[in-house]
Amino acid sequence: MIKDKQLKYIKLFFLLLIIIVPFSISDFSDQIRPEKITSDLRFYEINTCSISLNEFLIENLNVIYQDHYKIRFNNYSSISCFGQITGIDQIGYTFYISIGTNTILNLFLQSIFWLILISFIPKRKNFEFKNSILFSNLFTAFIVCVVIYAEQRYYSKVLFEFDINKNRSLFFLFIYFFFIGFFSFYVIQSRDENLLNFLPFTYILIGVYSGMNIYLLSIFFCTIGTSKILKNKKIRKYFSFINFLVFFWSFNAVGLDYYLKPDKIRGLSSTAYNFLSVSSWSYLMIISILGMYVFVSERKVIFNLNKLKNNFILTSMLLILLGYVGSSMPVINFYNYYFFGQTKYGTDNQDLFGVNFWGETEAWRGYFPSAETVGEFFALGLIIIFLLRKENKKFEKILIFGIPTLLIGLYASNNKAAFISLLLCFVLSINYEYKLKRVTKLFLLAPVVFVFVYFIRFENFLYSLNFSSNKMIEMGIGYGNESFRSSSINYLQNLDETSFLIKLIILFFGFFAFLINRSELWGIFFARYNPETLEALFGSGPFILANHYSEINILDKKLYTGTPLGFLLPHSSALSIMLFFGLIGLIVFLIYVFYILYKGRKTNPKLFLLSLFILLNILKSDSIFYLPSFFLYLTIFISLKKSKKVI
Amino acid sequence: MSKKLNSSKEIIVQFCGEYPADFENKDILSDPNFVFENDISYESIKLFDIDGNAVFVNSFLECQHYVKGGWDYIPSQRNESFYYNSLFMFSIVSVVLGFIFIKKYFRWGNLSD
Repeated sequence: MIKDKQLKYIKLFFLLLIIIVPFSISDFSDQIRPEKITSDLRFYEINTCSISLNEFLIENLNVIYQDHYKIRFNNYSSISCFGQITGIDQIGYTFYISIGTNTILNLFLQSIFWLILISFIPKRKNFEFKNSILFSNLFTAFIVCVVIYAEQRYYSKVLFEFDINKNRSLFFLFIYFFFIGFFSFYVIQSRDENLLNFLPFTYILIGVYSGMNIYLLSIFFCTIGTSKILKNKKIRKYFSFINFLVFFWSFNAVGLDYYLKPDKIRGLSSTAYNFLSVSSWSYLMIISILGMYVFVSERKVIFNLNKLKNNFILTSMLLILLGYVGSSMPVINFYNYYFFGQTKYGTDNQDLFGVNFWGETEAWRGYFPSAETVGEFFALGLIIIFLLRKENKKFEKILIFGIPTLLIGLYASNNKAAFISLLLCFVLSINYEYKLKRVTKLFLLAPVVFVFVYFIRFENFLYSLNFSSNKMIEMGIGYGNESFRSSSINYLQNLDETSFLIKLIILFFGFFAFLINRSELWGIFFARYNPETLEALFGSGPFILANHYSEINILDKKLYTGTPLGFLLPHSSALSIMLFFGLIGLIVFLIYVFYILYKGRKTNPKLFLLSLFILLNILKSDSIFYLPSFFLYLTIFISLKKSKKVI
Repeated sequence: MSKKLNSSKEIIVQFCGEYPADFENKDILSDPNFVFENDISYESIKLFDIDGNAVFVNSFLECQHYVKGGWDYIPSQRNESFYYNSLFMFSIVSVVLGFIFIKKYFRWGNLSD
């Protein structure tokens, strides 16, 4: 038998093979040899699919480290063209080098690479494989195929010579996903009980397939969710209500066919809005979320905070290192994207502490698609270190590098809300430990309030209440279209006709938005948000944004600066939840979360503070659109819910 | 994977070009000694069958005849089909081997477990 150590070397060897070989294959018998890259690009325009990336890099070493080269994927390529140069363009001083990849082959290469990486986590002894899993795998493969079929507009641009209207192609896809589901279940589920301690690493190994709109983990969780539904009668009972909801969401989409380019939220946003896409995507998402819940809650010990802390620190170091190196070295940026399954290429901004024309600090997102979300990650790491400061009597060496890294990351991400909530959690933690007197409490809270006022800027408090609380609605009207206003803006415009309480809530919400600089973004949200009564109550389906972005045309430029608006997310998970599950869903979510916080505040203050931090931040961020943060936050909340039993 | 067009006429146009104005269709199958004549105004075209065999045709009539006979494969499509078939086989074989491996080394439970 192969020993563990030998097996590790074999796995490492395979990882190296997957990194090197696909991008080195080329017809070496031909007479075509790479040329030095210059502005005369005729050679590369004529000889497409003849030179592999690595062959090209050997001849053009400067492409590895000079940042005016951008290496980009062309997923709509033949498999025989995989890893080879399909064209080079020059725009200004920047060269765009297009590398042929194939979406179907990506599925295999990336899955195998990621599963080998995950397999380095030690195995557990009591793993068992059940028959129900096979059926769940089949169902997962089926539902993923239906999702792909329903999102034809997106997939027709990325699947080369693969006609998903043919039964044969769909059957092939079904088998491909069955293969991925089968092995991902085996590799992930057979790992150690302590698997969730490695959760921070999902911020590195994001796991979205290049060219596809799905995460590896979605496939895995869907399998677990399906298996749970099969086994648990109670869940099956609840599912009849879910079926009703899915039918309602799908019925609303009958006759419509909206499209959304998923951009950085690829993997957690349906690209289409029609009956089939809404129904299949809703089931995929709901079953996957159930799978996540089951995967976390059925563990005897969810995670060990001390180990989690170390992994937060290691991940933070890697995030900054890979982000910075990737920003200056095109090859690293390219490999990061492919081998870690990023949803968006890492930034090319090399200045971590840059300021804009007006002297304001610019957010640096580095490796992760969202600066705000990664800022929350760094702040969470700092809170965990603070909460555990007394647990270890000896000073840990990892903190010498860990704390500065986390501070640099938080500062570079320019996430002020994360910083303020971090300070608040510090004060609350001290209060828990020392049972402070009221005066001391106020004394400690004063700096937090001071920082809060400083970030908001004191002059913003001097505006009239009427102006600041109505700013969000004004922005919504400004961005909207006079001839076709959204139903929500129409409602907000006529607030005088509504009851005093609703008016008060909305104006308070508007004032809060003004203070935290969300008037414009939330105004844009309402300019687009156009539900009918039932849709306002029950939403339009989980992680479905295509209708929201396509139903109402709004200005495509910013009101005051005239710069392109781009793809702006709602910037509030509360608004996103309202969009997905309606007002009823939002209310149920808030009640449930506050209930968990209320119950958990005494049983486990540490997890309570972490959960509080998350709640405060997601109310104004889009972190639920990224699987790593969504899964991490869900895990922390579940841990708090189970805190009596687990930690 | 080959893209099926709506009608055989469309496939012929795709491979052989537009029908010549003075085109006269002939019943080739009824004449076992039929010999295709070269059309000097027709630029010869290379056609492929499902196995990748190639043939040059030198007239529209000849091209039409071959395309109707199944020489309507584009090499890139044929290659992709081969790769996709290979990945399909790879998936099936891997799952079967994985299944045997897991069954041998781990406990295999029942649905009711």
